[in-house]
Amino acid sequence: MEMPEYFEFCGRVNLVAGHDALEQIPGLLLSMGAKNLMIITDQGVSRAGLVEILVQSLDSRITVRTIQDEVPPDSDIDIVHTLARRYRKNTCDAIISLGGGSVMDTAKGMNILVSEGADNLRAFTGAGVLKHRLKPLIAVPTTAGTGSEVTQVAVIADPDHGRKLFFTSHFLIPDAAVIDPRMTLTLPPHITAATAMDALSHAVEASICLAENPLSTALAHDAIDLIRCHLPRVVNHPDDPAGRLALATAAALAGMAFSNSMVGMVHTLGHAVGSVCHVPHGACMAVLLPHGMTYNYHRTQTQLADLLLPLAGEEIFARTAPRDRAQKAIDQVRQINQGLHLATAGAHAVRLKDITDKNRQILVPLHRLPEIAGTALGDGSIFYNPEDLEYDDCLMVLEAAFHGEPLDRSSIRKG
Amino acid sequence: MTDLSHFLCRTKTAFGAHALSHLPFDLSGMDACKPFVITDQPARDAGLHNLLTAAFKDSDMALGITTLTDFDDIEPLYHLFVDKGYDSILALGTGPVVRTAKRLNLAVCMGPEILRSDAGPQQINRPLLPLAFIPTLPSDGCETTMTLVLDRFFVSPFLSADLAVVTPEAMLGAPDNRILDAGLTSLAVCCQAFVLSGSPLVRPHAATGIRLVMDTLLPLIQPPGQDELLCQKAKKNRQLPLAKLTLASVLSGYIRSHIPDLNTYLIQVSGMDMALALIPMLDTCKGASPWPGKLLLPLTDPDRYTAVPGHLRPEAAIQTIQQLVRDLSWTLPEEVSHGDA
Repeated sequence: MEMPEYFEFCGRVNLVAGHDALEQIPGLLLSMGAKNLMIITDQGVSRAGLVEILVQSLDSRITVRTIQDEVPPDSDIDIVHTLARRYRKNTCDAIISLGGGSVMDTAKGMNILVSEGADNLRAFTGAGVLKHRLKPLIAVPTTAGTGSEVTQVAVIADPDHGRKLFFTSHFLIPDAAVIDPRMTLTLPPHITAATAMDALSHAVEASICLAENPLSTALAHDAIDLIRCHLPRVVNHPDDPAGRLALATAAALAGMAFSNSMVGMVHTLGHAVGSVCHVPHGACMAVLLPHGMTYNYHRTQTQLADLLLPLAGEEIFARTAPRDRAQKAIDQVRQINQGLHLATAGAHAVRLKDITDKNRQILVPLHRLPEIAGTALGDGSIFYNPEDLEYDDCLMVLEAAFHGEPLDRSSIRKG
Repeated sequence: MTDLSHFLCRTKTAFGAHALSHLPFDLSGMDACKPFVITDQPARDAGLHNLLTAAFKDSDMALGITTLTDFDDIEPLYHLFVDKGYDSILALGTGPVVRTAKRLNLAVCMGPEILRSDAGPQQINRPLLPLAFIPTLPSDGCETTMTLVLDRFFVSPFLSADLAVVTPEAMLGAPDNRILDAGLTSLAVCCQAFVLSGSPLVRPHAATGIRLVMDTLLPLIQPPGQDELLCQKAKKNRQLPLAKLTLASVLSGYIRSHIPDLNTYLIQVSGMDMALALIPMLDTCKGASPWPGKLLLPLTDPDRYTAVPGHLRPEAAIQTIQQLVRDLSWTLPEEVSHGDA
């Protein structure tokens, strides 16, 4: 087994997964000495009736002091400060974050303020600033993609200063992540597809990027296997609870994997596309993933070849010659994307130019690719990519992803 | 997937050369600045405490170092710790050292009376002082569990070490029977966890542990050639595989607490006995789930796994373990190996 010269792995979250996992929450809270809850969510989750399901799963030992459902799609510092004031006013002693990445990040940011007795979140940006355990936080994801429920990071916008604030600490890892398929049953197929591809991109990049390690890779391979086995069925049968549980679990495994081995250029470019064109993250990841794998092919052939088994299954792995496995793994990702494109009647895009909003307006126009490439160079994940990336490289990959054309391997930088 | 699964590992794992140099940063990240090192005589004799001194040389942390001679009486340690104002514990050694560190941590944080056998039930539901474990040998994994067994049985996630730092430079030499015992214990725990656990997080930990044992155990046990025996470099070359095997022990400790059925099968005295008990256990389980067959993957490699038809994989997994046990038995002197593989 290949081992890096040095690695760290920290997965300090109690992962509780199952069909009635929500019912475990009272016991988890009491074991942490907490019983006065603030529930943080967003209006979409609230309207979908998921807050009621959560509240009904609690019992008389737990008091829900307040439910806050105003988290915006992009978490910002104002809502964090507002929620911290309400947490104190309602004398809460624990938090449940119910939602996707933005809700999770908001809850983590608010937890910093209420635990540190502080009023200004900006004072806690960066890595290693937190020194103490925070208040009990239980994360209940309602999408199966971001993995935020198990990660040690939070990203919160600071609109007054036109920047995003990054927070990294083991203390930001929620105390528990409760994975219950009831929370994702209502996701429409194209969002299911996009979020699952987000999880897949976490898993693939965790396996090939510079900080990969054997534990992260094992988690990532299991996540990929679960996605391969369950995603096609769930997209066609969204009310399949076993499949939903598997996909949500895969997202958590992939989240834990990348939280410990970082991600690379697929996220570098994806973050930039999202930032410049306000494109849903999962949609970017799906389109960019095969291009990122191709760009790094010459540096990661062994890892890519190993990915073929979880990506394609035993039969395809066994009948593919070892020298062809890396390319086959890339082809397999394209095939998964194509299958999702068909299953969602085209709603799952396979080219950047096909990503649209709900009014069918194109979100990524060709003329903005240079701006996206420039923005990408400032993203921290670029340092973990196996092959170097400069502006021209970013633009080349973005253009290929825009038109849906494979990258020309001969024009890829080598070292 | 099963209906409900739990997994919690509070310990951060660090592995690799110079891993100790990260310790000051990790401790300061937990607001600790005055660590108390507990070690044992073999580690002290080998000068391993000097590795810690060197790692903290450029930090502004002052280390206190004590070598344990009496593992039963922690009162002097307790007074020393409190009087000198230490705020964290580094356990450099093996099981007895870690057990003492956990006892000391409990006594300091919850009062020494908690350790008395007549203290009544106690719930440990808040963090103790930062505790880092630096193993010097592969073991049965008890150091990284969330339990402490004295006259009474304590179990809490907060009893787990905050950090497990596995580094080749801290590996002591060990007799073959000790390496064999540790390796086979880790293999047995990880294989059973892989097959019996419903937790999706247990399996990747178990699979990694199995791969580490399969990669390192046999080469470590095989008798060295005469040249190697004389060569200091050869001793150094053993440190990395020993560290890998120790990492497998650490991982097996993490997953032990999550396998309720484990103790049913694993009340065995030696690693060899546990490995032998594994075989009938796998035989019993092989029709009940796909996992005995899937076990072949971490035991071998993707090519060998996919080359075996699905229905034959459980048997192939069993044969792989039997072959390892046979190879180890032939390699070892008769008094070390026992049981008929």
